[in-house]
Amino acid sequence: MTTTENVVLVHGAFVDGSGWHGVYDDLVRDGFRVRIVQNPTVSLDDDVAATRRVLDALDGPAVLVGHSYGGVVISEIGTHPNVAALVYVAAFAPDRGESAGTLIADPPPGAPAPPILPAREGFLCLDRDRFHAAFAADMSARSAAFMADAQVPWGVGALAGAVTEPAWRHRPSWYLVATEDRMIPPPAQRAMAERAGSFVVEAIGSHAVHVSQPAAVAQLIRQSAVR
Amino acid sequence: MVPIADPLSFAEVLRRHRHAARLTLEQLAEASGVSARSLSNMERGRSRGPQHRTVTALADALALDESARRQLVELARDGRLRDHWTRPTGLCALPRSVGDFTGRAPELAWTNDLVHADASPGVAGVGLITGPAGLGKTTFAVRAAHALRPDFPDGVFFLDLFGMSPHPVAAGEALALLLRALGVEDRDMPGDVPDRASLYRSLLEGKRVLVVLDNAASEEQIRPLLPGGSHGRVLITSRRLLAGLEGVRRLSLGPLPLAEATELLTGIVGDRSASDGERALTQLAQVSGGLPLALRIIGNRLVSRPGWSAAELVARLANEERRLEQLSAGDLKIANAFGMSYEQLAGSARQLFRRLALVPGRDFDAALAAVAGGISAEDAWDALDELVDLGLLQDGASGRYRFHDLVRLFARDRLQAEDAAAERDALIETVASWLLRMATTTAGRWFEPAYRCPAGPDADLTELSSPEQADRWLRVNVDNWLGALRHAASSGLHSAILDCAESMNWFSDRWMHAPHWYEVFTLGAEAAAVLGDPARQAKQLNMLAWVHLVPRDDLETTLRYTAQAIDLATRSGATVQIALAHHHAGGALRRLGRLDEAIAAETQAAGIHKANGDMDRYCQCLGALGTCLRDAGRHTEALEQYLDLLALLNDDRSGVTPSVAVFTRPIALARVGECLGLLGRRAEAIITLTEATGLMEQVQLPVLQARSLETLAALLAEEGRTGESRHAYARAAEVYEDVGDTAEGDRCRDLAAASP
Repeated sequence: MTTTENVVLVHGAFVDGSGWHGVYDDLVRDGFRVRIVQNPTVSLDDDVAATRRVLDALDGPAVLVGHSYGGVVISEIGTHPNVAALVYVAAFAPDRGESAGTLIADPPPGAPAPPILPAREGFLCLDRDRFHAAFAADMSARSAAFMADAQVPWGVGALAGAVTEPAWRHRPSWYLVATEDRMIPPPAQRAMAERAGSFVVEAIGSHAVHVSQPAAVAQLIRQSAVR
Repeated sequence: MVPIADPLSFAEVLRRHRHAARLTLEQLAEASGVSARSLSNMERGRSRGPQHRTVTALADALALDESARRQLVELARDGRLRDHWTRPTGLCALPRSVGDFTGRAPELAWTNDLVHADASPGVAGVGLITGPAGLGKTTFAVRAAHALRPDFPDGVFFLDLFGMSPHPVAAGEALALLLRALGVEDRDMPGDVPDRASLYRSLLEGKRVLVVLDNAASEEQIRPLLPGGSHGRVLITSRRLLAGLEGVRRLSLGPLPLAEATELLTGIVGDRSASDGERALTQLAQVSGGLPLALRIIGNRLVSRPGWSAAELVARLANEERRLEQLSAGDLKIANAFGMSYEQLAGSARQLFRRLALVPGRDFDAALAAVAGGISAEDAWDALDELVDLGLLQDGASGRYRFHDLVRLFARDRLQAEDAAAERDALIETVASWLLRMATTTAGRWFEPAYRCPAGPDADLTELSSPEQADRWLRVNVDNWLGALRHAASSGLHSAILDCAESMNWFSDRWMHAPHWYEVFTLGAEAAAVLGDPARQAKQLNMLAWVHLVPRDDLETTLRYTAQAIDLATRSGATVQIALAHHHAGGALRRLGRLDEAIAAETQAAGIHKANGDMDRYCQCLGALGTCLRDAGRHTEALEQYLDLLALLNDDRSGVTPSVAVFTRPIALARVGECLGLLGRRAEAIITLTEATGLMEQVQLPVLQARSLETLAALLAEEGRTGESRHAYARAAEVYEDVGDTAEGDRCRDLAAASP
């Protein structure tokens, strides 16, 4: 049994890489080398390029982890030779030709609509008053307010960026379903995980499960690193 | 001599004190904080051994003086101890749910979904609750199982698999425990894992049961315990994800959200919450990281040691955390919680707590704790009560105590830091020596004919006053004395090992499917070899032959051991061991179909036993010889053997032990009947078998009875007595069903229906 020692974390829309702090601490304590991609979330191509630069610089195989929209990024770049396994955390796992935009275009009946405000100058933001309930209900009001005010606008180009050859068809994948997610409906998460043939773990958590439950995310990453 | 009056019970003493204080149940409940219903149960003797903290609360409320308080505390202890000897264990009963369980509503909804989702055929609805230590996985699973109980009319079973211990429960042992809980007797327990697993699945087929498998170690351990079928459901808890298990839904349990963590803490501290203030308790919940284990320990610390306020504790914990911030998140919060309680203990309790980390097994009683602590049993009780009050030890209602895994690690850590290496080593020796001497002289030898009631054990040992107590001591302490045996092996204490292995000779037969006999007798044989004692080595090799012949069903290996045993026993002139080896070899050879060799082996064994005047074993060999002859188709000779045997059993001057004769007679009679049937003498066969099955019912040999009833039914059918035949098949089915073997029962019902 060997363990992949590198972990590369790719954040999603509306946030930056600092949300991975808890996961980072947990994995570093176990001896993993962890890199966090600060992908600008303006266009998928840019985010793929940013992630590729990190992967290129590694000395060996890595577990590539994506949260939310980060799942689109890892699905596109995940066939990189340095990627050994994929981990989706409440993330999109698009098939050929699908993008985050097409995957949210047709929500399951009854699913809450994420409070995304109309695009301004090519960027999307979340309604800050509804951020806590929609994005981070399992975090304190103070932390959620900070995240709402610090949110990174999401480029419509990133939203529309389609995957060409999904990496989950070529790499083993793992999926953490957040059961109380009000951004990506849990049934959609389960369906994407099933389609990708991922090993699934569920956590009672909001869309920000990587911040609120770093131990659960780290445990899944550790498992994916063992082969 | 003046007859000693029956001592007063806890119930009576409590009631007298309450009347003397002129309090109603409700008033005492009000004053003590113990519910009126619990009080009523205590006074009616339904709850004989309440927890220490409850008893001290009552003593406070009743304003008892020192001696009265002492008496009440001791009576409650006696009650807990009595429970210890009488309560059935190993029946996989679901533990009680904690009274102050808090939160986890979405998680409970998740398990509810899991149970009610349609399981695809062949895959049971299996849920795995995973997460790091201290999150309350077990507490949650127990709570969920209680909530789901109405959905499982055929039962809810709970089994602790000790996944984090160095010796987790093996799959075969776990199956045996579950099968026992399902009503399978030891003597009907299949020998190997696949057979046990298939019996388990067949017993659960079509049944609505919930099985909770707590603290699982590995996929290999769990796989055979999944019932399959579409009705059964399983909840597993594990710190691991057990990624190799297919068809399992996994839930990663998180820390309690702050509001729920605060609620739990507020509930634990009870009346204090008003003086501590909501703000301080919320902060305390926050520094506990939402980990229920940390919350409980901190809460108990506040209740038991009222000296510090919650605010002071918050400040202490926050400081500690800053100091050690780089270490870890969850574990650190918990270790801090332990530390706060540990520092508050009296020196003697602190020392006992550390030293208990050296107990080799999974749990221990007060007697063993006293040995580990080097203190009197009385002092051990006091310290254990204190440790339980603080939540540092868990107290089964059965008088046994255990650590949470994390607390044990903490205790071990303190032991390394605070006790000198030489002292630790000496203590390990003391504990191992005590356990070995307990197992050998006061427990195991109860079952050895040469000793029976063991006379004059060492003064420091606990007295066991009946075979039942000895049996129970050996079973509940098995991982303790086995740990001591392993330690003895690593320190070269050959005599002690061999004595211990020899004392298990007869007890092993009472508990034949226990998983460790191979290890025990292998250590015994190795010790005898080192001591240069071929006769005693032969005896251990014969035990190993038995292990492979009976519980393990591995015939070739049996023959390898018997060959070695015969060789060594011949060199040392140990005729009994030569005969036993021939007898074991005969059993293996017969089942391998090598009947001429089997007949020769049994004949030799019978000859030696007869010459030695050992009539019980001689009878055993005669019976075996008859079976070999019957299998070889030599029915007339077989009949002669059985008739000879029967004559011996019926002759009360033959030297056969009467109790042995009582059990052997119906078996011999049934064999006579079978042989008569095989020889075509059906009318005589039917009379004999009818008598035999009646006797088997009297002495309770249900499986043999059912088999003989089948033989009888077949003969009746051949005679054209179809009504009686149907009746005999139906009776066989009933007997099989009584011992829980529904598959065999169904087969006999089919035969009953099919008979013309």
